[in-house]
Parts: sequence; C-alpha cells; structure tokens
Amino acid sequence: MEGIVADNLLEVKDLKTYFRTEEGVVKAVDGISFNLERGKTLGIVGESGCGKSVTSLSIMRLIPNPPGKIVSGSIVFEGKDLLAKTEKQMRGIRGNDISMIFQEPMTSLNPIMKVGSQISEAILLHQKIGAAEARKKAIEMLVRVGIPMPEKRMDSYPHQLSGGMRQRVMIAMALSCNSKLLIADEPTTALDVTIQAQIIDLMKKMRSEFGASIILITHDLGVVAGLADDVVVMYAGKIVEKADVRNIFKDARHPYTIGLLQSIPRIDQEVERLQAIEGVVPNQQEMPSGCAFCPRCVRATERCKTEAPPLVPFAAEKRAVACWNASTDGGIAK
Amino acid sequence: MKEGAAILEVKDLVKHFPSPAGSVKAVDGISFGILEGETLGMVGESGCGKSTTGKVLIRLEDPTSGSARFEGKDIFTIQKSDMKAFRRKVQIVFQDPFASLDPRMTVGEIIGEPLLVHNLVARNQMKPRVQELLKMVGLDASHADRYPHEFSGGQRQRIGIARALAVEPRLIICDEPVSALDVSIQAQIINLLKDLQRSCGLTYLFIAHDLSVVKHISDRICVMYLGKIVETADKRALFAKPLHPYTQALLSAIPVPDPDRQEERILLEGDAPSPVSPPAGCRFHTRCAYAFDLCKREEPPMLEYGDRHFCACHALNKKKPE
Repeated sequence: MEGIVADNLLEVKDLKTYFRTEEGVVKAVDGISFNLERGKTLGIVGESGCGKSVTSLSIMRLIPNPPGKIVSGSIVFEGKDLLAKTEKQMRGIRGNDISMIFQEPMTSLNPIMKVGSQISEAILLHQKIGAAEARKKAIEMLVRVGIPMPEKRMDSYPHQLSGGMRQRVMIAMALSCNSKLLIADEPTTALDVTIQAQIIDLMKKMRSEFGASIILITHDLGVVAGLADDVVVMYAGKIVEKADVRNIFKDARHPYTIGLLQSIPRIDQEVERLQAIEGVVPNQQEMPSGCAFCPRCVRATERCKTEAPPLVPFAAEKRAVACWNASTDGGIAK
Repeated sequence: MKEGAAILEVKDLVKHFPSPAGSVKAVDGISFGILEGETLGMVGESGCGKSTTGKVLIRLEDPTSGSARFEGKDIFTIQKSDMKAFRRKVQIVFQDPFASLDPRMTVGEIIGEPLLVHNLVARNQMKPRVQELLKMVGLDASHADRYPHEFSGGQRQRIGIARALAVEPRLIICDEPVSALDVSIQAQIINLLKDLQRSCGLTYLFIAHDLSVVKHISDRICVMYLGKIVETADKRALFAKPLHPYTQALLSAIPVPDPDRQEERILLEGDAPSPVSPPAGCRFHTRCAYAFDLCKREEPPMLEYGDRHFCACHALNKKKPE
C-alpha cells in the first residue's frame, strides 16, 4: 500500500501525540499509521480515551500546545507534510482543503452570529469572491444540505435551530469550500436516531456529490458499518486492527475488535446474555509494558504481558492486526 | 411473556411545565402498566417525555393530573409520613454516574446512607452490609473507603445501582442507565441489571433512547412521541411487526452493525414539533406518510391489535376493514 500505487489523499505515518500532565506524560496517540484513499471513507473506531479524537485534531494541527504536542511522525496530505507547515499556511488549509465537523454543533458555531454570516465568512475567507456572491453561495449550500426556507434560515442564530439543523449547517459550512477531506468527529452522537439517519443519509449524498474523502470518528459500530469503506480500530492510543469494513464486521482478528462486536446489543440478533469485555481501559500510569489490552483479553498469554505486539500486515497488505494470538477464524464467525 | 399482576398502573398521566413560551406538555395523558418481575422499556427521542415520566413516578416531580397505583395505592396521594415507605420500594438509577453521586462522600457512606435513613441495619452492621452490596454489583469490598472520583464511569454506575439496591426495592426506574458509558462497559452494566433482576426479583422501568439496548433488556416496550404513548407491545411483536408509522421509522433508523445489511431507511422529514404547541389530532401527523384528514382533527384512540399489542393510529383502522 505505498503512496505511489494507491491514490492516497492522506498518509499518516508513525504519529505520536503526547500530553504533559501533572501525573506524567499521556501518550494519547502512540505511533499510528494509516492511509486514506481519495474518495473513500475511513472509520476510526474506539472507546473514550483511545485517541481517535486526538488523531483528528493532530491532522488539523489543532492540538493545544502546551500541554499537547505532536512529538513525531508525519501527516502527508496531497503529497505535502502538514507538520512542516507554518501556522499561517495551516489556516489556509483548515476549512478549505480540510474541514471538520464535531459532535456538538452548538459548541462549534458562534452563538451570537447569524448562521448565514458564519457560512459566508468561511467562503469569503478562502475564495476570492464578493460578499453578495458569498451570500448566494451560502444559501445554495443550505439548499443542498436540505434546510427548509434557506433564505430565512440565513438570518437565524444557532440557538434557533434544532440539533439536526445545526449539524446540517456545519456540513454546509464544511463543504462550502469544496474541501477534499472532511473529518467528522462523532457527527451523529448527540442526535436522536431518526435525525441521525437523516444526517447519515446527507453525508452519503454529500460524499457522492462533492467527492470528498471522509474520516469518520465514532464509537458507534452501526454508523461505521453504514458509512465507512475502511476501518481502523484503536485502543489506548494504538491501532490494534485495520481492514476494509466487511472484514472488520465479518472476519475480525483482534480480540478487542471481536469483543467490541460481541458486546453490543443488536437489533438484528437476539442473545440471552451480552459478551462484555471485562475490566476497564488501563489509565496511562498503569499501562502494561506489553499489550495494552492484555489485562482484559481472553486470548492473552505470558508474552502479551511483556512484549507489545506490532501491527503486522497480512492478506496482501490489505489488512493488519497487532496481536500475538490473533484469531484466525474471525472469532465472531463461530 | 410474563403473566404477573401489575405492580404499577399508570392512568392518564399528565405533566405540564410552565414556561415563558407557554406550558410545555412534556407528558400529555399516558396510561400503561408494569407487571411484577418484568422489564418495561420506554423509548422515544429527546423531549418525548420519557424521563419526565420516570421523575413523576418516583415523585421527584408532581404530576399535573392522572393517577399511578403502585401495589394498589395511588402514589400521587401518598401522605408525607408514608413517603419514606414508598421510597423504600421504588428506586431510581440515573443516566449520569458523575452527577448523581456526592463527590464528598465515600462510596461506603453513599451506599450506607439509605440503610441508615430507613433504619435497615444497626450501625455496627452497616459495614458488612455495604460490603455485601458492593460485591453484588461486582465491586470490591475495599472500595467502600474510596471517593466517587476514583472510579470510572462504569464503576460509578455500579455504585449508583448498589445504592438503589440497598433498600431492597421492588421497582427500579432506570433512566438511561447505560447511555453515558462506552460500549464494552455498557454490556457489563446491562448484564449486571439482568442478573440482579433474577436474583433480587426486581421489576424495571427501563427508560432509554437506544433501541438496541431496550430490545435486549425489555419484555415489553412502550414507544413515546411528543408526550404520548403511540404503541405498546411485547418486544418481539414490536420488532417483528411495528404498527405505528413512527415506530416503523424509529426502528428503521437504527444503524445495524453489518455492512451487508444496509436496507433502505424510512427517513422522517424535519424535526419533532415543539411540546409547547403540539399538533392537533395525532401528534405525528405532520411527519407521517400515511396521514389523512382525520389525523389532523382527532387524536387516535389506543386500540388493541391482538395479544396485548396496542397502537394509536387512525391509518391503521382505515386499512383494517378493507
């Protein structure tokens, strides 16, 4: 999977983002590598604190420093390393080439600025057009994301919109500059399920209309199954498994991936008892020297306690798993 | 399906909140019963009134009107002096395990307090009882001396459950008990609630927005929309054959964790209307694909469609005689 062969929009290599805290250094992201092919959607899955959001903020170069710092690695976007860019250059990229939408749109919208002005502002900032034209384009974007009465909504403040509408506004803003990469960090988590379905539908539509590549960060495996082409599973700052979406759900190899899939109650299956993953994610100070998942793992052996398993590619380099005792039958196939 | 006697019977429950914009009709005339030993799931989206229902039933809020009989007695007319006895029998577990535990109390004090309030153990017997409760919810006896902030979200929810269990209640209202937790932890708590139900003979009212979770834990399910119950059925019947157009849309909107099973979804237009001025007639008519004249004028009655499957929908009756 070298950059020359596949058409990669984004290549993250050995990214390490650490935070200095009173209790010591927190390795929020600890040496992860992945590629995003142009036009594809990559799902990053994992539970609270696994480093998925820090990964996205690292790509945007939005890690607050101090206490956070990207200590090593490279983030190559369209052939250029984002980590080598100046802050000024980054400002030209953010919201233009790479856009981001967050879980709670209320906190990312300016509460005292009309929705229309906020979208126009993004357009004016990155495109050489006049105010009147920017407004016209903003209205057009609101139409495209399915906001009724867009002219009227241009003059609404964020609090006058529902959660679903706010997320639509965020998507309109993100796509108003024809971003090549859209990072969606838990975009539907704060929304009700019927509104979530609307937003997922909208994201699919936007993906095909704008041809944007998407990094979808979520804890919801159902959302990933419906949207992603490829999936990266993270645990305690590291990637434990990556594969195309079908293989993650049908033929998972890492005990954590398998555990996650078995622990969720499903609408399409009935089980008497859920297979919970026992224990909790270890905190940074108690991180085992071997595999971080080892204390909770059903397949753990002596070696796992002392030696951290590397992420080893297989299946013609299309997949990879970091486990000394990876399942060979997919675990869930049973 | 369990065939016990009804432990709780709610009739025409109404709860309106005053607001500058007009009264918020959070719960607007709902009736349902919970059978002894069963889990009744209550689902619906934000603002449908499910949490308000829970709060009114545990008397954290006073109802606007209606009645609720717990073990035959109306809980809304309980005298102050009998309130303590009622609280011993009905407990609640909240969504946010960070907000519902006093940060300045040790876990032992948190779980021990109800024991003292209700005079359930002598002071010298408290410690062993607290330890016993901690073990019941899968925590360590030594945790009694620690403070809530030393625990993870899942562990805190276990503490909240232990506190509810301390008074040996008969009914526990679980208000979104797992929605703040990570999925791997969620499964632990769901399994714990199921185990405790069996070993302690508990009845649950399980309020949640996550239909997959509700389906897993419930025997029967009520679906709420804008302050009304639109459908109630045994969970298998509800998922196999949802009758109400809102239930159908709700079920179809659930993301299925299977890339090969991405069926067409029924997408609802727009957002739910405000509970300050809910639509006349059927509250769902503004977003319903089957709505016709009658739906705009008249509220549909709750009717039975075989084996305790209740639904309030005019369109359903229109189709029936044909």
